[in-house]
Amino acid sequence: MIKLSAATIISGLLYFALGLFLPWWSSFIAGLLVGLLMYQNYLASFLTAFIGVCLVVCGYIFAVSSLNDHILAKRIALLILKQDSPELLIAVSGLISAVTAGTAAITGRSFMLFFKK
Amino acid sequence: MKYLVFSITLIINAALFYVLGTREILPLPLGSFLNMQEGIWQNAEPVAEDFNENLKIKGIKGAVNVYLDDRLVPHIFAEHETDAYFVQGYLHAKNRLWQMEFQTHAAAGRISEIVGEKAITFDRNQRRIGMVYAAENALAAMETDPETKSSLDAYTAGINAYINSLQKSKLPVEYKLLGYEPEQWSNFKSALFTKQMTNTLAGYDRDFEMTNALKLLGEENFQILYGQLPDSLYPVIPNGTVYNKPLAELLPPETADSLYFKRKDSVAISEDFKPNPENGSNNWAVSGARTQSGKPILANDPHLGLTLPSIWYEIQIHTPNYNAYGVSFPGLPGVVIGFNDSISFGFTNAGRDVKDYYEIQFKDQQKQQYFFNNQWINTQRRIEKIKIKDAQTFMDTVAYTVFGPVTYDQSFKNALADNKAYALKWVAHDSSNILKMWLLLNRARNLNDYVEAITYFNAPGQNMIFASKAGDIAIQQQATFPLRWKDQGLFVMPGFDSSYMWKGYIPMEDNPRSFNPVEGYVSSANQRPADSTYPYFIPGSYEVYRAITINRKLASMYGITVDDMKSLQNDNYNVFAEMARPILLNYVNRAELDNDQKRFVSLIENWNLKNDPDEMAVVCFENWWDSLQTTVFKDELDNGQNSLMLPEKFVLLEALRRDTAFKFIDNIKTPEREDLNTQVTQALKKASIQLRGLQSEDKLKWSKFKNTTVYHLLKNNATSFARSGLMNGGGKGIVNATQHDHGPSWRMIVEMTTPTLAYGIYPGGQSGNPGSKFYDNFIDDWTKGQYYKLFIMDPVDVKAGKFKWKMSINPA
Repeated sequence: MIKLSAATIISGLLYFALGLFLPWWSSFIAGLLVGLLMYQNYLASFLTAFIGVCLVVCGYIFAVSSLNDHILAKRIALLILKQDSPELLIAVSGLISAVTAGTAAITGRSFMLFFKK
Repeated sequence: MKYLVFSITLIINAALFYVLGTREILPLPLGSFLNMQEGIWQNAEPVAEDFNENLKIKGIKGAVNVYLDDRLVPHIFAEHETDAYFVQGYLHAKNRLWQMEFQTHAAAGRISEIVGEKAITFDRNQRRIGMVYAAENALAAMETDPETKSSLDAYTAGINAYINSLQKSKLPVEYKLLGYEPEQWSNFKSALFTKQMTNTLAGYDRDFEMTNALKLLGEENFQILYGQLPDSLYPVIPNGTVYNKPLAELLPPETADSLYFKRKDSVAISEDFKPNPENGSNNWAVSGARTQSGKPILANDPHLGLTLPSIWYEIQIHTPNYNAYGVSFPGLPGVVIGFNDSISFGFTNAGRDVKDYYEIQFKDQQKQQYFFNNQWINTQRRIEKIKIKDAQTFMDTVAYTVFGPVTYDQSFKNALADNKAYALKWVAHDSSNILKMWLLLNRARNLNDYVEAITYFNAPGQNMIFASKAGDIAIQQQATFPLRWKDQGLFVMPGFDSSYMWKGYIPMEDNPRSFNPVEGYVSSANQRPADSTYPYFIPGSYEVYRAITINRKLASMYGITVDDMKSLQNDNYNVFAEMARPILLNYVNRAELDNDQKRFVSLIENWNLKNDPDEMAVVCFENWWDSLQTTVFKDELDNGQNSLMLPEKFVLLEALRRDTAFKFIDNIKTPEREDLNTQVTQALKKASIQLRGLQSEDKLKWSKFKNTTVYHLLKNNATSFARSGLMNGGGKGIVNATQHDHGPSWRMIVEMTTPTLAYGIYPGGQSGNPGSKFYDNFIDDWTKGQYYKLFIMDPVDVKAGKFKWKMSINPA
């Protein structure tokens, strides 16, 4: 459980830190690194990266959007999702980073198995 | 197993990377677009944003302080004028960068670079009417004048200082939506902006439609339907004014009858990108003799397309030389409509025709030679390179003639027979430094300074209004206007004979003007500037009815206050309906009407003639009259193919007021002879089909029918960035000229007391960021007809700390 929590937290922090220097695909890198470095099964690799990144993204965006009274989120949600729902836009934003991090974590994990005897 | 998992997830990762990183699959690269650190979330400006800043920037000479008030209006205090323009550029870019670049890309015919092939026809049109050529000529003139050049250089440097400091993650939302990045600003882009405004305000023309109408109708009927002197004309310069005689009387060429007035063929050209003919404005100034304070009051509300971000950006510029306040154009330095400590100034569009087409005969399809004065003359060929997003650059060869660029030829847009083509002569192409006028007006102190400043302005023609603390009021229609023989330029002209060329320009001293008239007020509302005694031929696209309401009201007003002026700018009285309603009500055969139709008639009968937001009679009246226009004219104007346009609204109204047996009433396509009763009743029956539909949808109220909307510049591609469903009254021909997406883009009233009292509002907000609370925060108050008291900050206010935020800008 501790390991799972640690992996989740590391995924989130890693994603945030990499995002300061790298473009949007830093979620792949964060997931890949967690998969490579944290020894877990496939499901745990996916979930920890997914949840860690999702929490960071959704938390950060929710805070940013709340300070903005969701002015922009409403307009963008209507524009691209055709829904007057900032929450949905926040969720979609979080899911994109989370899914990419999660699948990259499985890739990293399976790659590590190549070297395991 | 591990190889299989690795392979599958690697493929999934690659697929996700591709799908989320490109516009090939989804319309947007959602990976970056919704990313928390580089995507749109970085544009979500906190509603409690702290705009205090300390900046060190290269390029300024001294310290500049910018005080921002609670509406985010900057009050720039600079020791050097050029520093003020530098900071104005910086602030324009900070708040409106995407808009500035998009508008100048549009001016230059470069939209295909952003949106791809769908804009190619628009871009070609811009190039072919010579927008870039015109901007080059303007820039040369602006950069020849040292003061204009230094002001522009500083302004451009300020914009670029902001662009260079901008992180990619903070790019305006529209760049992220469309997937491109800003380029460096240049003085040339400011020149392009002036030409975009010139095209908006002096780019409307109907030579092709009028040529076809003349051919179809013959000269007598043409004059009836398309004459330009309404009986109810209330010109800018009052009827009865005595004008100087022109130096020489201009006569048409001897061949005009056969080659011009009775040409044999019609023209198969339809122009797709005409500016809105409703682009206009109201302005007036009343002298101290008519005001409660004893000081003049000036009012101005320019009517333009209502857009977000707004065309206007409010600003105060305080330097040792002057203290100007008003609205500016993001794209140009200085205040465009406003006032300083001594004078106030504003504009309405002149609407004069300054754009003519000449029919050119090329020798062959190479477009290298054209026939002119009995010989083949070489064209100058300009290769326009139009870059297209995700496609090969399009090369468009535009031939330039003695008149100007050939806009329409075989390659654009219609295949023309016998190597004929149409070249454009347009004052916008002339070299001029119109920016100089604003730089001088900003620091003008009296009537003489105003008179000198406006001489620099050549296009687009404007009614320039003026009031001063010294008590002067003035108006002058100003620009360089072509000198024409009667009817010259109404139709497409022969391009092989120099005798059809413009004969120069009307002397500037003969431009219509009125300084301190005995009436105690001056005004304009896009009407014809002068009555028929004005000694020059001045065709144009003129409004009739707003001027009548304004003049009626002003003539009867004394002890005028700012509140009276606010009421007048928001006046919804429909003077056209006042004149037209009796015709509809007197000639409708009521016995033929069903219950719904009787109700529509009853609504109109009981109407107070105001286009108020909740009024239903307006919708009934407008639909009925439009239906009558179509019923009366469609039969005669149905030529089956070539471009035509319905006569102006005043034509039918005035014809029927003069003669209810107006010759066009009869439908020539039926064996019966229809009279006015028949046609008025028929028109209502036809209109009632739509009116019933509106009634069932609960859209019979004027504001619901009109649905006033302030669109984003990307129009239907960004509807959620727009504000629609606004409950405005007003409309076409009404002083409150608010139409569906067009109307008062800035309302300003200035009382020339000491201190100056000024009020203003525009339908937008200071920020161009759809993620800012300052993006559209003025719109609700604008809809209600409210104003903000403009805070004219002085050094005492600075010491007293009467500001919300402060930007300190120092040389690096």
